[in-house]
Amino acid sequence: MTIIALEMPGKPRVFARGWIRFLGLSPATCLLVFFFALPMGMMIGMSFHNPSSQGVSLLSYSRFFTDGLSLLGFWRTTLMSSLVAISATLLAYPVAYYLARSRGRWRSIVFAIALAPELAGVVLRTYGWLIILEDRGFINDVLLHAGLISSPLPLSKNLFAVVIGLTHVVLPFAILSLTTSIQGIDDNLERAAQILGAPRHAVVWHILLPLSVPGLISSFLLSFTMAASAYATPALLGGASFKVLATMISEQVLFYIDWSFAAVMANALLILMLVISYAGIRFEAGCRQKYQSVAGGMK
Amino acid sequence: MSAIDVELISVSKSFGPISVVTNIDLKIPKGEFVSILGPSGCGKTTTLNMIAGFSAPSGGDIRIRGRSQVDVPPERRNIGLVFQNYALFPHMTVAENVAFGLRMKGTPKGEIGSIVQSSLRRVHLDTLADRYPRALSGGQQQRVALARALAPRPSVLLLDEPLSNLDLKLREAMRAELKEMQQELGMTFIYVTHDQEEAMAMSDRIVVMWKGAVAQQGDPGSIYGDPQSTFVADFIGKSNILTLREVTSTGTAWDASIDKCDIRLRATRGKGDARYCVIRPQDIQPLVDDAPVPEDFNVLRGMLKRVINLGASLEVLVELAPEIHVSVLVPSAGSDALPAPGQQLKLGIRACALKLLAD
Amino acid sequence: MNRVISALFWCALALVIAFIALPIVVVFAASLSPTGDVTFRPWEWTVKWYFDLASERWLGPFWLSVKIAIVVSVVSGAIGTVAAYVVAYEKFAGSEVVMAALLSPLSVPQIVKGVAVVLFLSVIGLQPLLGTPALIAGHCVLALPFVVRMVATSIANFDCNLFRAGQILGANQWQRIRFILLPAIKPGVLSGVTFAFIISFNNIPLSVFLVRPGETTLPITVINYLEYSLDPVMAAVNVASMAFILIVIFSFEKLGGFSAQLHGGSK
Repeated sequence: MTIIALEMPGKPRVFARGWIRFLGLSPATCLLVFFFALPMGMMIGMSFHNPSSQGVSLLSYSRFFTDGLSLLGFWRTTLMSSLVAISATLLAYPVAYYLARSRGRWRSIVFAIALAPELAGVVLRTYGWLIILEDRGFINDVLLHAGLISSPLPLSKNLFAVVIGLTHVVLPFAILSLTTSIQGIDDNLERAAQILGAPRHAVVWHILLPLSVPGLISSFLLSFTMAASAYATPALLGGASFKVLATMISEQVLFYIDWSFAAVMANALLILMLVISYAGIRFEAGCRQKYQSVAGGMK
Repeated sequence: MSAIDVELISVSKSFGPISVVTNIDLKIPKGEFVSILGPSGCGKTTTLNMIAGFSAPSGGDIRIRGRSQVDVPPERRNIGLVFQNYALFPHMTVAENVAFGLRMKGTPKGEIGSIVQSSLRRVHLDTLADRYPRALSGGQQQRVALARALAPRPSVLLLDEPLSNLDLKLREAMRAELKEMQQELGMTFIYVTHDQEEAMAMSDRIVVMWKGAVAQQGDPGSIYGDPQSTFVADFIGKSNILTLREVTSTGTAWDASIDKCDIRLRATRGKGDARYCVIRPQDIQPLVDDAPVPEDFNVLRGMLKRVINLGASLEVLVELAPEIHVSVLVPSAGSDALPAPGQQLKLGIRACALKLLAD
Repeated sequence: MNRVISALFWCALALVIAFIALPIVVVFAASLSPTGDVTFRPWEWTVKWYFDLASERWLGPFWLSVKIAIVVSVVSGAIGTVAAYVVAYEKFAGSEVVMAALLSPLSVPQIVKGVAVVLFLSVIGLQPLLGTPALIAGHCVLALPFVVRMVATSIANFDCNLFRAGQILGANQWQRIRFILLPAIKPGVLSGVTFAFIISFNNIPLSVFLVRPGETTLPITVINYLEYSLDPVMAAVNVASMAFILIVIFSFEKLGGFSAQLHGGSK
């Protein structure tokens, strides 16, 4: 009996005929074209349209840039998202480090707790924060009863509440992102620093933090984009006095029925997101090159 | 008597109910090149981690230069460690990597530069001081790791299979360099490896570990020539291991009966409770039929089953009895004297080449 | 000094974990609150608010959400799996562009997607589609990139030599897909389907624009309610909703090794 050993390059094709590929892609294509691409195109077109006149018009755009409220909304969105991104990244770090470096039963528990809120849904968590921060809510209740304050602290329906609520919403993603990033830092590096005489704080300062920078920035950008496009949390925790782009857009569509203006704001939000996402992608590519793991053949 | 640099006293380590290292006793004098040799899972890496301080022993004590290290964290043990994957800091240049230990020690800035330079010169990398690790080859990275570990002048250097990621030629070259460096510095090197050739080539002493305990320790010659267990006999070099049915002493020598056949062999060294007989393939010689046989030779007859050409030598598989096979190593030049497969062959083994072992 | 750093670390970890758990614990406690006000008196707990869950005002939206989520997960699961297979396995010129196109909805905020769909439907006169059909389509667009990504990862981990093995043993292309590929990518597909279900069920920003009076999903109903009052019934609804999701995930896990996906590789 003859035995032949083969090593075959490339992937074996399952379907000889190429048209099957297009058949496979057509449902997805139809769905995306009809319910995504066309609507998006139409929305962009609508922003250049003025309800009171025909043809192309920049009226809505000029309104966006001159109207104090819309600019304020844009500014608020950016400010809120930045604050959320910073706090989410900071809070995520200890958890991410723990998840990246530990093993065993406790790790699974912490992992579950860190991600579970995502399953609870945005509403449940936002509602929870409402209960905690409201004038008649938990914190104020306790402080009033203890006699430490005489009237409720305004902890809700403002930037503060929205930032806290959104940080909570975004946190599981920040944790996941940072965990992956820290796992990419060879844990022998910390040991190498230790054996060379570095006490814990020096290991953190000289080795851990510099190598975490790419992950921290990634997490920041991810949290920023998620916060900027959030709707339910700013709506519930911000109330009528704290409006961001997302809530303003919905107002324009559902109450004022000014679709052109809504489209402009939607475009503004979209552009903000795309710019930040793009910055993130370029940054990540650059970092991967610079900090790529230099393990000697293995990790 | 030279000072003892590293001492392990009844050191053991368990993870829950699983015992990974059991009762290790080691005394390593200053300036010795010691290899801890064993297959994967034998506990050598765990032992290394305990000496370095990354893992605390479950029992026993570790002393470095006489001082117990029980509560001393790794950063205060003044030990060097070359990692298997080098662990060079990717965000620092070669020079900054090497300088790191000196900075941590508090060496004055003015001196750091010159110490770094001389460390790099010692490993022939002084021209690459400003490169980043990712721009270096595997061999160069390995040397940076070495320079970095040695720069702060530790009392002991630990090496965790540092050559395993290099290709063969480079590995052999580095072996010589490491040995030279160790002798020049007069520093104690503790070298962990699973490669017995490496250990034999470089060490003053080999500690063979198996299943969490020390199987045997000694200089390379005695480890090879005088194995105390079948494990060591088989792990270091190759051995034929035959199970014994009974062993009797004749006063001057020992008579060993091989199990499952009626072969009896005479050995000069042995013990009453021996259960195995170990013979190195090169100690079995094919004999020409008519030639006279010296007195201390055991003579056996068997059937030649197969010859495997290894290049410089031939491995001859001989069946002495049903289910009893031995491997004989013969220089390639002797291939003409061998009969064809299936034919009978006469073999001779010196009595002193037989080892009778209890386990 | 090392001890200080260690202590700080463990404190920080504990505080963050507490922060994460806090609102959930609070809502859970609120659902058991004795009075119409949301207060914290553990010694007077009651489950009476949970009985309100059986009323039509909650059950209606709940079933609608479930129906929509089922349709969405099946449809996007099927479409996404097929598309992922074509792009990830049968590579062709431009497959990277196609993959980027399939994942493109991810970069657009849900609000923006919702506005776009609502405007589009109104302008081309397909307003009657608002409500359930639009919700289903909108959620599918939302879920598709996730399904595609998860299935594509599973396919990337698939050893294509298995196909050759099947071929030489006599299987034709449909048999190879059915008996070799599908079982291997089952974890990826199931993860995608589960994810699609959860995304659809819990969705708010997109759905805000696509609902119609009488055809509202559960989360939207809850939000509308929350703008007026904070009563414990809301808490009960939320807790029940979360319990439901957990049951769904658990069932999917039993069905097919969803956690295998988390740990990498097929079951």
